[in-house]
Amino acid sequence: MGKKKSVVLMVLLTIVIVVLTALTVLPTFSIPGTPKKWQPVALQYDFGTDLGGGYYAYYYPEGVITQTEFESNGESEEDYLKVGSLYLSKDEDDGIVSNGAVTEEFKTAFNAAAKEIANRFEAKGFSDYRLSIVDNYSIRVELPASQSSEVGSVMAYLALTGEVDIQMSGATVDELKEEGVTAKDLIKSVSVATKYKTAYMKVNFTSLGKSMIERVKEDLSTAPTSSSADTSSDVTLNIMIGEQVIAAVYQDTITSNNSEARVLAVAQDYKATVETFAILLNSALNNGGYDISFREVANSDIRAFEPVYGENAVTLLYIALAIVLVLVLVVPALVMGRYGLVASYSSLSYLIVVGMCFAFITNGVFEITLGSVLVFLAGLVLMNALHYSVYGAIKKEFDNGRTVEASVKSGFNKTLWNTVDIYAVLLLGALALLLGVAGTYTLALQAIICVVTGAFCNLLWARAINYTFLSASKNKYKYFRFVREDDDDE
Amino acid sequence: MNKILTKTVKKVTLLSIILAVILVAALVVTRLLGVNYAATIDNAKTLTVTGGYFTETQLEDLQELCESEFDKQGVDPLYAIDGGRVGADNEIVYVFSADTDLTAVKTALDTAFEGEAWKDAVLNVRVASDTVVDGVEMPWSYVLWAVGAVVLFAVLTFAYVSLRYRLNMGITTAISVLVGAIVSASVLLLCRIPLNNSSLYAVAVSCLLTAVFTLFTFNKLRANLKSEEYKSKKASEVIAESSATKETLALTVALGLSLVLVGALGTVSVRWFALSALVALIVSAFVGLVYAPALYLPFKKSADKKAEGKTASGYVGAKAKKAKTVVKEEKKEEPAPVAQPAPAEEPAPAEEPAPVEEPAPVEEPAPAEEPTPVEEPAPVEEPTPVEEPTPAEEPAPVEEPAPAEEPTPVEEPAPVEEPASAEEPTPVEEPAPVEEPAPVEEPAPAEESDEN
Repeated sequence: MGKKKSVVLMVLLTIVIVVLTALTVLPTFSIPGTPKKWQPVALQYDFGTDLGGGYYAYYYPEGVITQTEFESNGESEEDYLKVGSLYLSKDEDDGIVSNGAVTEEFKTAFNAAAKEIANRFEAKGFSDYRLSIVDNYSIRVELPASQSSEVGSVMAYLALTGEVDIQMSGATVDELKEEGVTAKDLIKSVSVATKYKTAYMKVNFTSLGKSMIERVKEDLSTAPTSSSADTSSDVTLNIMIGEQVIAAVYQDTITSNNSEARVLAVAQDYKATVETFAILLNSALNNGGYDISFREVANSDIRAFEPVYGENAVTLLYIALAIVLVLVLVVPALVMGRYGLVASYSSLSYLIVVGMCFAFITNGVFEITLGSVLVFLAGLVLMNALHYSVYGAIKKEFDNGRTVEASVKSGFNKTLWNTVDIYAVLLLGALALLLGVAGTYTLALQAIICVVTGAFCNLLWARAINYTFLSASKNKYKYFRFVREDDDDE
Repeated sequence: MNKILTKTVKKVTLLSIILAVILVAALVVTRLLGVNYAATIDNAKTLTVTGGYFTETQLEDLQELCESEFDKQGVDPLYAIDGGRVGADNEIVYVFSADTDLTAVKTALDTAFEGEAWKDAVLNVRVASDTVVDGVEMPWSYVLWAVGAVVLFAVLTFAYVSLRYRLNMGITTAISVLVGAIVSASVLLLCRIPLNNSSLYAVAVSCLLTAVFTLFTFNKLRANLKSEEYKSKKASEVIAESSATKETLALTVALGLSLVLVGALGTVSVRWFALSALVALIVSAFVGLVYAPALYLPFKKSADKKAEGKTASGYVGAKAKKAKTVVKEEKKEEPAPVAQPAPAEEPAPAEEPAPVEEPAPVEEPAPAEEPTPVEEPAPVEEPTPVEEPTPAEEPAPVEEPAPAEEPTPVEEPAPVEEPASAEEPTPVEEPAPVEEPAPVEEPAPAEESDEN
């Protein structure tokens, strides 16, 4: 490549990298003349609880109130039994307290319900969550801030403890009225699927369920369809848990053979909400109802909190990462001469690509946790270590008497397959980690991005940058910090 | 470092025992003392202050009051949760360890809130026990799936490394990955580092790092095994000298410093995570740099023995038997020494050339270096019978055949065959001692004929 061309390319490359780096990490500032603020990519991440805080709410069983409610409602201790910071109703109809003590039935029902709710939250696959029993008779749930889009539905619905009921026009279907028949005998399973950018819940019916559908289909034909705006009709087939309608089955959502119904269709971005309902229904179908119900959790009952060890957790982390990045940019230049600049450009490219991928890949999938920080750092350091091994190979070839160009070609070729093997194994590792759930699954996706980006930078990008820089360099020996001893002429 | 590695490479049994002891100790400690969960996921006692809507300043004052009461009562919260709602009431939850007695603190705060400064605020203090539901601290399904992922990674690594490198290296890498994960987890449990879901990430990444460090060594080993310089060295020496010490230590130090920096500047939870990651990194480096090469050595020795065709018991395989038979037959074909009327003065017996050493056994199918060819002296030709009574001339003394170690070939009239097969170098025969043909006796003077 000609020198002029190389210089132009070098300048263009530098400008692009600087601009993209600024887009990624430049701190927030107000845009003059507008109320908007500049937000770098690095501040658009969804963080886990350790870094971003989260949300929490309490579940109180019916008949259990807090100290604040007790005092503000002017209740009397004759009507309530104090247990810790909670007050339990002594009303016999509630079945909570009998003869001045909490009944065993209530304790058993509460513990069983708490365990089942915990299983539902585990099935949701949150990277970070906490579910605890407060003063023996209330539940506290914490979720990470990254779940802001669905925290309301999750908190509200996963605590439903009633049995599954199927109602046609407000009355339980005949099949469920028969003794010994439960909803599980009508609904085989519930799953989530996506099609045409729409997420929906698939309800699979058993043979008894199919015959039920066959029977009610005629009535349903007079009802509105799923896309109809008419909500006045009461001819609906509803799947309910307790008194809460979970899904409405319309005539046009039932397949022709009556084997399944596709309900709760929403835009694919809201798939997580459909998953919540599917987990709830599956849990209720498999485990039945519980002799306890919890008070509804409204959005106003959900509280937000900052990272528990300080609001500055993210800021301090970024400062530490910035120092690491500066070292990674400067040290290669000191050790490898101008070839170190190639490593620095490669590191910045890695930062840009990984930073943007972490921010802009589907919301909710890419929660930034401390594991993300670790894979980012590991990929960055490994990439530079491999750059150094390439430099060592080039130097060795040069010391054997080759020209600089031949040494570069030979050095890259000799380290090619070693680098490929390392990244191939790392990619296999990242793919294997996809088997994990929750945070491990997210870590795997992030590791794939880091591995692919690192491989690209090491195998292709660094070579291209080196080719450009070397072509523009006046002194190729100085470029690599090589010293060639003059041959003795004898 | 190479000196240490030269010693450790032969100690796979000892290293395995040490790692097993660490694992067992971790299991025992965990069984006795339980898992040390991080404060954010462990059981606790909470003190909650609930009130009306506060401005920032009022909230700060409230926090100051609470913290001063804690100091007076000698209790220390693990952390605090400022649970606010936009436009609604505030709630501050102070989290203490589960065995803290907060009765006195509650009473003190109740009294303080009845004071002039707070009497208009509706403040409520409640103390509660907060017990995490069993299995939620670190859900078993998360752990089991992570374990499955690690096992799958080991299998995939075995397949890839076996194809690209060697079968033995594949087995070694797979075992190293599993050992790295298990030992990392064991050390975390043994050191009682507070665990949470983030700790799983550190263990998962330790598998990846172990594979990387092991491959650094195997890359070097792969190249060295093909070079001439290492063909004659013992397996343990080759492996020890192939350890990628520089690369492993450079990566470990660089990543370790980064983690130290992150931990030093981070908050408590970040600090504990950085420590977990540092432990995982050091364990991975140890397994990749020290344990994996030691584990590989017995595999290599076994493969080398198979390549030689011999087992440990000394049983000679069919190929070696055949080679021995060929050698015996060649010896029989050598001509008998020349019979002379008088024993010739034998020259100083030719030094037997030292037997050519069999080349070091090679694992690769690449042809082994041929031993320095020692030219076998051709059998001495029978001197032509003397026809005329001319004085026999002593033949020029035959040069002694050079010893096998010396590269100087022996000058012989006939070309010498080189050993037949490179893989099975035929032991070079000792050249038969060269005998000078006996000088021919002067014929007796001719008898006078009777005719005269």
